Amino acid sequence: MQLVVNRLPPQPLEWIDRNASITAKLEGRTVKGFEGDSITSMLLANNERLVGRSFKYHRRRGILSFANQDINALFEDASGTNIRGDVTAAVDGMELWPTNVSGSVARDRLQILGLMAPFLPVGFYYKAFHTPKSLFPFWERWIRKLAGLGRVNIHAELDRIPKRYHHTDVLVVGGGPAGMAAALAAAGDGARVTLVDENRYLGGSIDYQHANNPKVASKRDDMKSRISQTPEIDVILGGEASGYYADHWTPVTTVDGIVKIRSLATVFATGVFEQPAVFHNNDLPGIFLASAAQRLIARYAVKPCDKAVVFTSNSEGYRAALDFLKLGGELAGIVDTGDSASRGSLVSDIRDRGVTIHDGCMIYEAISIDGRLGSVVVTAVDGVGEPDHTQRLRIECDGLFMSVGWAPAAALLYQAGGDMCYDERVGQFVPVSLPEGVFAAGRVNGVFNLEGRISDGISAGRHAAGYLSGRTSELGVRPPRATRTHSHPYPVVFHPKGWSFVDFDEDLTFKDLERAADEGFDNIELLKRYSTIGMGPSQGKHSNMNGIRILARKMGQTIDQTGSTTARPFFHPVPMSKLAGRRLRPYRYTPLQEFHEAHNAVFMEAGIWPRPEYYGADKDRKTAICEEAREVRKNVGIIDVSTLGKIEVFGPEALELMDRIYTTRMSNMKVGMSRYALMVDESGVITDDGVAVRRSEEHYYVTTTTGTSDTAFREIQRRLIEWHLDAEVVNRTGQLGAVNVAGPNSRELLAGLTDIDLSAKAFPYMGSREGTFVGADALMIRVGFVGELGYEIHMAPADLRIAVDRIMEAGKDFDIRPFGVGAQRMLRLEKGHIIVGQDTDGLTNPYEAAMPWAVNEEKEIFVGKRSLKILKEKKIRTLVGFTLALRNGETLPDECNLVIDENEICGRVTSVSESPTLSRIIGMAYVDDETLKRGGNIFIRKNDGVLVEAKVEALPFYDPKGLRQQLGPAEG
Amino acid sequence: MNSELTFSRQTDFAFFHVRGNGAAADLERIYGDLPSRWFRYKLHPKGVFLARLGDREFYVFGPAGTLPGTASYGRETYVFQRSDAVFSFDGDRYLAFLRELCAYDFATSEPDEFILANMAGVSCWIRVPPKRSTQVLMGCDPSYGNYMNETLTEVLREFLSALKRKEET
Repeated sequence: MQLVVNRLPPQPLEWIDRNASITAKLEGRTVKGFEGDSITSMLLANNERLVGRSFKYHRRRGILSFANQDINALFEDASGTNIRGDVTAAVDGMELWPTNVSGSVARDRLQILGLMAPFLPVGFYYKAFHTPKSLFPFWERWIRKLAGLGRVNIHAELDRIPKRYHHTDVLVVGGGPAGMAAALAAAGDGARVTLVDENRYLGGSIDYQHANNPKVASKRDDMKSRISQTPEIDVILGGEASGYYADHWTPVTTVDGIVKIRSLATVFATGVFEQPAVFHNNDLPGIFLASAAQRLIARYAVKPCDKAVVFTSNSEGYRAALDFLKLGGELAGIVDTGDSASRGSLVSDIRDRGVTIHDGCMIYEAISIDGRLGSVVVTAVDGVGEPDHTQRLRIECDGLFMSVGWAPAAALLYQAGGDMCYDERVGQFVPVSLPEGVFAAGRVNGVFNLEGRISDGISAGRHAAGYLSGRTSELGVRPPRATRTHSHPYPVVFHPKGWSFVDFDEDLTFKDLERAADEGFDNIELLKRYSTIGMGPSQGKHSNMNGIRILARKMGQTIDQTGSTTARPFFHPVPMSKLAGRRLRPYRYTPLQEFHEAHNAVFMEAGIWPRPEYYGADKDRKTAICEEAREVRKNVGIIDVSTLGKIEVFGPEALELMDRIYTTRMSNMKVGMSRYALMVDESGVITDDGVAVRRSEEHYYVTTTTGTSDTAFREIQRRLIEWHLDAEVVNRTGQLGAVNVAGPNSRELLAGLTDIDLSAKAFPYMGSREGTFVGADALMIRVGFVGELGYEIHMAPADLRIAVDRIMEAGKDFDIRPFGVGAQRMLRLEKGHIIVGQDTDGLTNPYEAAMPWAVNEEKEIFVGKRSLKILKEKKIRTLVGFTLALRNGETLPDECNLVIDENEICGRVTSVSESPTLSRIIGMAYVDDETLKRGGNIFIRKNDGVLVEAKVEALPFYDPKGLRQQLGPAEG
Repeated sequence: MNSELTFSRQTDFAFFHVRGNGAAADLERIYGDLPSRWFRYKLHPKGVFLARLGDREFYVFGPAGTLPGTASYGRETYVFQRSDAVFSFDGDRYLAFLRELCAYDFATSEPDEFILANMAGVSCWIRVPPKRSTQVLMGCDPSYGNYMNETLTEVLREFLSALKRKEET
């Protein structure tokens, strides 16, 4: 059986490789093609003219634009969906199914929806389903089942497609004659150029509209050859410029992923989209845009049909007619909306071949035979452009090529901030002003003849290169635009039956748009949203211009008064996998990561750091945490605190900087001492806390909380710049590691490992000392976050690893054990120490957090001072401690559970835990001062709705005089 | 063009961040010549290089044991040891490889440039190859070392296999 019936003899510029045959299947039927075929060219070569079903009415659809401008041909295979048949390469072994079909493409059960069209008017979603309310879930399920395109394979393998970067002086988007000329001109003027085109080969329309035009061949070959020999021009083919972003960033979507291109200037030579005519049954298979027919012939050597009619309003239609004749096709006639005498030299050539030209006529309707085009009805056009039914003619044909006009592919120009207006002479929107460094060339710029497009490209390329060196004004004015329109001003004809499609994606008809306007949606943006014109996958490429024309005529406005809709990225749909790119999720390890793993740590996320929550993956979490906490209280433990931010602040005015940044006074701190450091923002809200160490007269070392190290550093830097102080800051968070060795035996354990005198007299509470620890440089700080005698040891990462090994070795005599964040949080809760971010929120000030002692109101100036003065007077809540008793089987409240007073919310829990030291449940909560004033217990509503009673307690719960941390066991 | 691109992690080095009003004078005294412009570096014998990040901010990098210690600097100079994760790439394809992960336009950089840029989501320093060399040196905060090592290894593997596929076709 001969499958391939529509393949033509070799064409001069064809894309297919006739030596490489491929076989694929559509709905199980075998089709044959060549490497280089697109899916739909292969199907048409095999006489598969019905390529899909429409979105709403499931009408039969064939090839329309044969470009990325409609979705008549959407397919899915085993791994993907919404494969665009017109622009996706056919691959040997492909097995395809049409996307929007119930049954088969020929016998789609849902075509019955076409009969329901009278009940599905424009906006029917909004009109139909709100009453009765009870039926809405039913309708919702039903619509969800019917709507949407394609099925997502949720079992598909994770597909990570990288994004990469590319830089260039001049980016030229569009590889047609204007784009090629622009690239060569810019490169000739010394610019690095990147030329991007969405097709597999350079050439653009010159390769299909002029494929057989010997006058053009030498120009085309010359440009292509020069580009290939110009090393300053990078060419990206098969790349779709998907959007335009500030500073000339243009993402280009390629088969290998997105390339983010940054240029210094950009030339858009993106061309135009051919627009369909709107008449009854204009969606029948066999009705093509003329450029689609030319692409089929020139690129894939596929004959679009046997007997064609050309419907045209310009000279391009005659070129398409001639191409069809030359390949041996039968041309049943040309229907010209105007006067063929004005269409140029091709007309006589066509007449000489015996083709009848019907001047001043239009297609009124297309008539179907067996679901595809069988004939067209032609009428004369009367004086006001309406069909004159007294002069009708029916022409048998199986193909119709529409060439009634163009719309600029200007989405990227709009996104770049360009202003466009409708030029009546050109018959399309053209740029009137463009941002600096952005240029338009060729047909998108309203220049239509080939010589003009090349000149315009050269001019744009030179202007772009000149822009880089500030020479734009010297380069003079750009070539003129077309003086004769190539687009019909209103290629729309009314038909009472109404299957006159404007938007093929959304199955929107002329009637739908008229009705929407009648209903008051008479602004182009409202019309778009109400009717969904231009909101389908093609984003209005084939429908917006006709939609604007229809609304303009309906409202009696000009095209400019009607305006156009906003163009947003992406220009073509971009797969999510390409948008996602590689999974780049930075994480940070402390120097002790291997130590933690070796000690069987169970990790938790602390920002982007994994931190041990507890040690002993084989243990119950609560047991492990309680054991670790008990050991710190009784004996000694070690915790990795390397994640704390570590910032050096130094220089002649470091004191001033520190005093201004923190709420406490830092300038009166003695060298070798440390102090609690609380940071608030201008509104007095707590943003960070840590410890500030005075290393020398002009040098401080500050720690921050784990999560805020970068933001605290940035804030200090910002302030430093703002205040012009002679000081410097260095963020050493990852450059140093740190451990805290805490517990009554910590001093005894560490004393033998350092040359620093650890005695209470020599190294008091909140003191800091620099010396060596196991032979390496170290900074030690005597702090008590967990409420025991403790020492933080800060060292270079490699030194810290050795130090910790030595501590663990020496600690064997003390039964030392590492403890994790779980135990640390419990221990600090016993001491009533806050964790910024857990016990504070985006509104907490130091007075509410029960830390008025941390604010030095006497200081002349510090960040947040004025706000804090106001907030102090207006304080309405306070962080308090509480204890509670649970009945058997009752669960603990959660952090963030609400405090309830007389059925009103009066606070929330920030921390809660079962204290192994105190053998009771303790917590902290913000409670309204009014509630606290009344006294008595508070009530916490748990997640299950049960209220539990809690007793307000003074903080801290443990060692209220601080003897254990301040004095240590010997002195305590 | 050599399609090889070798990648290694440097471990045996000394690295200082030198800051303060006395930094330039002290470094000039110790090393002689300094880069005169910001974000430039100067090579010194024995694999040592000095990068200038500001009027009074420098990086000094060299093999372990080659750099004078902090005692060599004056009172107005602050010297901080750095323990960065340092990686080295060598090969003609380094520019194309860097484009996989970094938005900086390396094609316009000069042979003595020292760049601070974001790579794979992490702040890095990147030493552009000196003249007649294709070796890129880059480093980041040591806490990101594991992540960067994993990421660079994986991306380089993908990059080279894509390159190989392209060359084969």
